[in-house]
Amino acid sequence: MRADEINKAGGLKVGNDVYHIKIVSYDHKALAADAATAANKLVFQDKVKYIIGNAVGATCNAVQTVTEPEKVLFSFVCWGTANLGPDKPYSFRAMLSQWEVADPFYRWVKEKHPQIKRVALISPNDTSGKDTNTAVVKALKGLGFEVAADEYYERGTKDFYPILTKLLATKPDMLDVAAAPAGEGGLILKQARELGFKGAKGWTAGTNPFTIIGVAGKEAAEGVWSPLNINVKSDFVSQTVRRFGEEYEKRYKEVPGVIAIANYAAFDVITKAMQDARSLETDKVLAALTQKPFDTVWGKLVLGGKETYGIDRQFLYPMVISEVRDGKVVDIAQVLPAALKK
Amino acid sequence: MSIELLVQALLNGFGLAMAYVLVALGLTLIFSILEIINFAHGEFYMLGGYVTYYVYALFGLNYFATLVLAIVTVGIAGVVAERLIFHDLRGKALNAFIVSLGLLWVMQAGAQLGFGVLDKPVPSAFSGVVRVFGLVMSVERIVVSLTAIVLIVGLYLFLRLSRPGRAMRAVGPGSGRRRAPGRQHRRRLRPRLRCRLRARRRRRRPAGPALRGEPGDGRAAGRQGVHHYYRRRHGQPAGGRPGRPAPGRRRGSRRALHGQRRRQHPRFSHGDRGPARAAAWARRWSVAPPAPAAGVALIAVAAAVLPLLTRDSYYLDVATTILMNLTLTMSFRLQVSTGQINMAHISFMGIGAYASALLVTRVGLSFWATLWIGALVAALLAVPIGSVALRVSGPYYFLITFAFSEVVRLFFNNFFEGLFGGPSGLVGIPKPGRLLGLVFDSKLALYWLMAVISVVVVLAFVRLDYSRFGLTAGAIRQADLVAETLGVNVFRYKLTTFVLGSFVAGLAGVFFAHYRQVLHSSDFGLEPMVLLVVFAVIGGTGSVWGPVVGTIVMTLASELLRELHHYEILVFGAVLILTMLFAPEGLVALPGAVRRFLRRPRRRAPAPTGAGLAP
Repeated sequence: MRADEINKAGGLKVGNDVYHIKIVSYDHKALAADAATAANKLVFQDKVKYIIGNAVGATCNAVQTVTEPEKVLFSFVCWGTANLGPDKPYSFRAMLSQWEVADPFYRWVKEKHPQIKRVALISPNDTSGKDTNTAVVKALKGLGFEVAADEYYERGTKDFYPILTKLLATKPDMLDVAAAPAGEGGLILKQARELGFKGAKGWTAGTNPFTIIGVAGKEAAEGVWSPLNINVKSDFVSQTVRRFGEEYEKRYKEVPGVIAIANYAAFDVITKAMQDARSLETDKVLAALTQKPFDTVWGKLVLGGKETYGIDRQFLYPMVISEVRDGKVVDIAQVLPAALKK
Repeated sequence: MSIELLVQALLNGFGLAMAYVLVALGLTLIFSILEIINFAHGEFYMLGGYVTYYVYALFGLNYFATLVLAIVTVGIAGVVAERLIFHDLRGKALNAFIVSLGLLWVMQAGAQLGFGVLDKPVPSAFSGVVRVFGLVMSVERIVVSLTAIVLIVGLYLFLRLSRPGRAMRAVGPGSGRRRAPGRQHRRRLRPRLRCRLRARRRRRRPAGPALRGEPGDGRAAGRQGVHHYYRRRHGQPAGGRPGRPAPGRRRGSRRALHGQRRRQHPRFSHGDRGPARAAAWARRWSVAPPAPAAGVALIAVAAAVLPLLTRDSYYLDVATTILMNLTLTMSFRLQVSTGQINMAHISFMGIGAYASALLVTRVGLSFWATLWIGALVAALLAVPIGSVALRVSGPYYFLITFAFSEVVRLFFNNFFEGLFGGPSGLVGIPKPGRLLGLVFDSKLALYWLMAVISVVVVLAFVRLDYSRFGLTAGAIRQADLVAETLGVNVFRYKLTTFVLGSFVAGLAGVFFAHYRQVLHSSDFGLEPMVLLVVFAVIGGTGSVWGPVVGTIVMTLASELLRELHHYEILVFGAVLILTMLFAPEGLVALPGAVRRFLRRPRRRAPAPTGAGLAP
C-alpha cells in the first residue's frame, strides 16, 4: 500500500534520481529451508536489497543466513531475542515485541489494579509463545507478581478444557493469553468463562482484538487488555493514522492489524532513510535509519533496544493499552518507551 | 491433584473423545469399507465448518437447517471425490493414500483461495454450562457427546441390520469379495487375463504351468506380478527362452530367488540378446549395464557442466537443492521398491541433521566425521523402528511410520530445548570447513560436495536396482507372498532397504544441516514428507530413474511456481492426483505408454501398463 502511494505520487526521489518501486513477494510456507531458498531467490535472482515482512520465528533465522553476508536490509516482525544482535547488523524488528511490552504493561496493571497478585499464562508451543512467556515471566517476577501457571499448547488446538482445568485450579487473579493468535485466544477466553473464570484478562502479545471478540463472544472477551495492538479509530491516534486505517479498510475490506501497520511503517521508514542518505546502498541507509526519529503511522519512532539485544535494531514507538468494553476496543492508556522519552 | 480435579479432567477427556469420535467415525467407515486412509478427511470436516460460517454466522439461517445443509454439502463433496478420484483406485491402497495427500493440499489451498486466511468467528448455538457437584461441562459439549453416542449406535445398527449396511460390509476387506462372482470381479480380472493371452501369443506356445492358477488365486496373481515385473524391466517375457519347458522355468525361478544359479537362469539374466549382453557386460565389469551406466554418466556430466555455465548463487542454490532432494528421493524410492511407503523417511533425515549439528557445535567434531556418524545414527535408529513397523504392511505401516515421524518432530520441537533449539530452531551450525586443503564454505564448493554425494548415491542405487537384491526387492513389491513362498526372507529384505534408505537420508540430512545452517523441526514434518512422496510418485517409483526425473521436474516447478505463493501446493496437489489417476507409473513411463498407445492393435483394448505403485 505504501509502495502504491509513493508510485502514485510520482515515485521515490533519492538524490537526483526518481525510482518506481516494485514489490516482489514469495511464500515460504513457514518452513525454514523454504525460507532460505526464497531469500536466495530474492537476493541473487531478483537482486533485492531490502526485504520486509517475514513473520515466523525460525524462518527469520534461515533468511538471515542469506541476508547478512550479502548486506541485505531485513525488516521482520518475528519475535525472539536470537533474531537481533551485533552479529546481525542488517536485521531489525519493525514492531514492538514482548520484551518491550511486558514490563510497561504489567507496571500499568500493578499501578491501576493492585488487587491482581497471581497471573497465569498460556501460549502456543512455538518461538513466539516461548519467547512471550519468558519475557512476561521475567517482567512479572521483577514487579513482584506471582506466576500461577506458565502453560503451552500445540497450535491448532480447539479444546482447551483439559489445560484450562489444570491452569484455573491454580486460582489466578488474571489470565494472560500471551502469544495466542486471535482465534485460539478467543476460544481460550470463551472456555475459561465456561469453566467459571471471572478474573482479569490480558493479551500481552495480542494483535487483533476484533477477531478475539468475534470468536470468544462479547461476554467472554469483556475486559481484555491488550498492549500491543493499535486501534486506528481511537482518540489516541493522529489524523494520519485514522486516514491510513480508512484507506486500508477500503482497499482490503478489513481493519488493519498490528503486523500490517508494522510493515507499512517499516516500508515508510526505509524509504525516508533512503532519501536522507541520498543513496540506495544499504550501509548508508542503515546509518541514516539509526540517526534520528521518524514520523510514522505509529507516531514518533526510533531504533533502540541495545540494552536487550546489544544493538539498536528494534523499532520503538508509543505503546497503547486497549480494553474490550461491550464488544468494542477502547484505548485506555498510552505508554512511551524510555528511548522516546529521552 | 484433588479428586474433584481428577473427575473434572476425566469429564473433559470424555467430552474431547466424543468430539474426536464425531470426526473419526467417518474416517473409520471409509477405511473399513474402501480400505482408503483418507488423509484429506479433515478437509471435509473443514468444508462443513465453512458452510456453517457462511450460512449460520453470516446469513443467520437456523442452526439445525445449517446442520442439514452442511451434511448435504459435505456429502455431495464426498460423492464427487469418490466418483472422480477414489473410485478407480479401489483395492490400490497405496495409490489411494497418495491421492488423498494430493486432495488434502488441493482442498487446503482451495479453501484459502475461496474463503481467505483469516479466522472466521462462529457464535455457539448452545451457550451456557451445566454444573453438577462442582463439575462443569458446557451445553455444547453435552450436545456433541450425545450426538456422538447416537451416531455410534446408529451406525452400528445401520451396518448390522439394514440392507445397504450389510451390502457395504459385504464389499469391505476380508469379506471374500475377491472370490465373489460379479461384474466388479470380472472387471478386475480382465487385465490379467488379457496379459496372459498376449504373453502366450508372443511365445507362440501353450502357456506353461507357471502361469496357471485359478482366477483370484493369490499365488497365480503373484506370479503374474513377477512375470510383469521382469518383462517390463528387461523387455522380455519372464518365461525365458522360447522352447524352454515350463516346469524347468518354474524350478529355475525358485533357485534364482534363492540366489543359486541365478546367472544361468534366463529370468534373471536380462533377457536373451541385447539385455543378455548387457548383463554379461555388467557381470564382467561389475557395474550397471550400459543403459543405466549411461544414465548415471549423464547425471554426472550435467552436474559437472552446470558450474561452467553459471556461477549465479541462486542457480547454484537451486541445483544444490535438486541434488539434495535427489539423494533423499532415491533413498525413499529404495524403500518403495519393496512396496513400503515410509512416512517417517524425512524424520531420519532430521535425525542425521540434528546429530551432526550437535556433534559439530557441542562436541567439536569435524563435519567430515559427522557426515558418516550422522548417517550412521539414522541407520542405527532405523533398525528398531523398522523391526517394529515392518511387522505390519499396507495402511498400518503408513500409520506407524507417520506416528513415528510426528514423535520425532515433536521431540525436536518440545524436548531438550537447550540442545535442539526447540520451537526457535537450532542456529549457528557451521559450514563443512576444510578437507585436503580445499575450503567448503562457498555456494560453489558446497554444490560440488553435494554433486559428488548425489552421483555416488545414484550410482549405488542404480547398481543395487539391477543387482539380485534389486530384482528380489521388485519381486517382493509385486508379490511378497509368492516371494516368501519361494524362500525369500521378505522381512530381512524390507528391513535392509529401510536401514539403507535411512542411512542415505541421514547423509542428506547432515549436508542439509551444514548447508542451511539452521534446523527446525517443521523441516522434517508432514509437508516436506508429502513433497518427497510427490517427487517419487510424479517421476515413477517403478523405475530407478523415476525419482531422478520427478525430483528435477518438481523442484524446478516449485521454484517457477514460487510466485503463486501458497497456491503452489494447489498445483502440486492437482498434479499428484492427476498423475496417480492417469499415469500411476509416473513420467518415466510416459514414452512407453505413448508408444504402446500408438502401436495398439485396432479394435482391441490397450495393453495393461504394468505394475506402477499399485500392487
